[in-house]
Amino acid sequence: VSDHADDEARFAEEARDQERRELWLLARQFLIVVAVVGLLLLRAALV
Amino acid sequence: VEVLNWFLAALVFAGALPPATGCYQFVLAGLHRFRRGRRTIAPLHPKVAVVIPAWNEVAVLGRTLDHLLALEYPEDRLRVYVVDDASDDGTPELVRERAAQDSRVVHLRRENGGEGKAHTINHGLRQLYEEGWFEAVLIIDADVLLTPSALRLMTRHLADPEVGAVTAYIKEGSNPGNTVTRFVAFEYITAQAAARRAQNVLGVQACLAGGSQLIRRAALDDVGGEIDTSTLAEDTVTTFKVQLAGHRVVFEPFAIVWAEEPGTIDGLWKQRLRWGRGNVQVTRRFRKVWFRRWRGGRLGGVSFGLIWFSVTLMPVFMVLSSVGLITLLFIDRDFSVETFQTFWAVNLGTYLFITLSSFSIDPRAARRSLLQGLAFPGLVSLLVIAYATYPPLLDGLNIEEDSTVWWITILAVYSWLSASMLAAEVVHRLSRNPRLWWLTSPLLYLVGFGPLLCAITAAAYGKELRGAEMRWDKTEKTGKVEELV
Repeated sequence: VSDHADDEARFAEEARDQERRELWLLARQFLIVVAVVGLLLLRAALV
Repeated sequence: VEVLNWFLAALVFAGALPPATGCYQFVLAGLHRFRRGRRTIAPLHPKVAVVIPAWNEVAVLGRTLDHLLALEYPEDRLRVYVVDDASDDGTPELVRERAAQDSRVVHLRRENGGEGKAHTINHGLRQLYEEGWFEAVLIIDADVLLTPSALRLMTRHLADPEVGAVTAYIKEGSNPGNTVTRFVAFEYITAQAAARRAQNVLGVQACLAGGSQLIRRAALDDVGGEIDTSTLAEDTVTTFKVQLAGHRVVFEPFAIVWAEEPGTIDGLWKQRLRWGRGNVQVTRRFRKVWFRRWRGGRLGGVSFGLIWFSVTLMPVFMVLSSVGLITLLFIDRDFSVETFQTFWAVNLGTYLFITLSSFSIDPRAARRSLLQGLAFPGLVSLLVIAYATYPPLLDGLNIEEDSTVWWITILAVYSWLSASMLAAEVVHRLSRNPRLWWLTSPLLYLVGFGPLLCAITAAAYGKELRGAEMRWDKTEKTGKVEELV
């Protein structure tokens, strides 16, 4: 596959933005896990 | 008796395996960031030949070509080959007109068509090999709209010599949509944005989305230079063969491709029946790969096997679960109540986790299909969850234990996982009735989209067991797809 010149700065910024979005996704997933597990524990305590 | 009880409880919890595997995928999807960091991606613009199989696509093809020709990609490195499968609706005239306006568009014509999509693609691939120009091939459907950055985001993965193919994130873009298309829009968040991220983390992909798959020439060479024509799942077979040949297949979540999915239950049934039968065929064809890491590489991994079979065997798990619960009811009523409540508590957890995570992964698509996301398992299932979580809910009905009404209610609730598939089949039949079709949308919310997909998978088993003829039922497209931003 042949290589080709590209706008390196734009590529780097785009890649950084995507990394940030993936990191936020991980943070939200963590919060959701905590919330759901907490809810199930609460249910178990109440029933 | 105790051993029997626990065996039956295990059967019941088999029904929780598919949603639990779904949760596992969402956990892996959250870790996608770390996987990305370890792989090579760099700006790269190989010579890409786009192959579009087209049979009577005049309603949609023009816009597809407009989007392709407007891609952020060097003009001298892109060619578009429309393989016209003996169309008679104006498609050839449309393509010839575009070819006259832009030299990157090439019209290929099959005079004797009707053999199906894979044969049409292969006609195009033979032409590509004759010309010898291409370094990668992008196979897309005639109705999809690529966002401007989609192709360059995909080709950057080819900077990693291990990567043989890349698939994009297909999103449902019917505008205006309806109940069915919005259910599909939500389903695609879980089946694509989440599941394929998870598969990236595992280092293996189940399927290059048929609507948009980029294959490196070397990888295509290694699978014989053509697409499989012996199954109804040519895209999945290509994906497996490319990986078994030693290449990696990756999903690019930021390469967005909009597609129009069926807007009727009957249309969806036909499309998914084809996919379901294709999956059964793939399962059989690659039977020596499953759970055999030494032979199948990552395809033979335990995680991937679990993910694959939790989808393809979902109807079996549902039936086993209902059978286990009802048998327990007759053997040990108290234990059955405990098992029922624990099972549905697990389902409550998986429902909340999968639904909230889907909203988190693609908030825009989720906003558009919020109701459908919440009602995905069906309102009846949500009521069962509510009852199992808080049994006093039914106290107000004053149903006397062991009365006929009590038995009917308890059997209906205990068997709902299986009965929901039959209910979905009834909804499908109603949707074909010209006088009762209006009932289908409210009934779909009640029964749920998940059970509908499960019912289609069960129907696919039936067709495969009977050895029914393999027909390529074309999904009708109207050209109502938009970039929904």
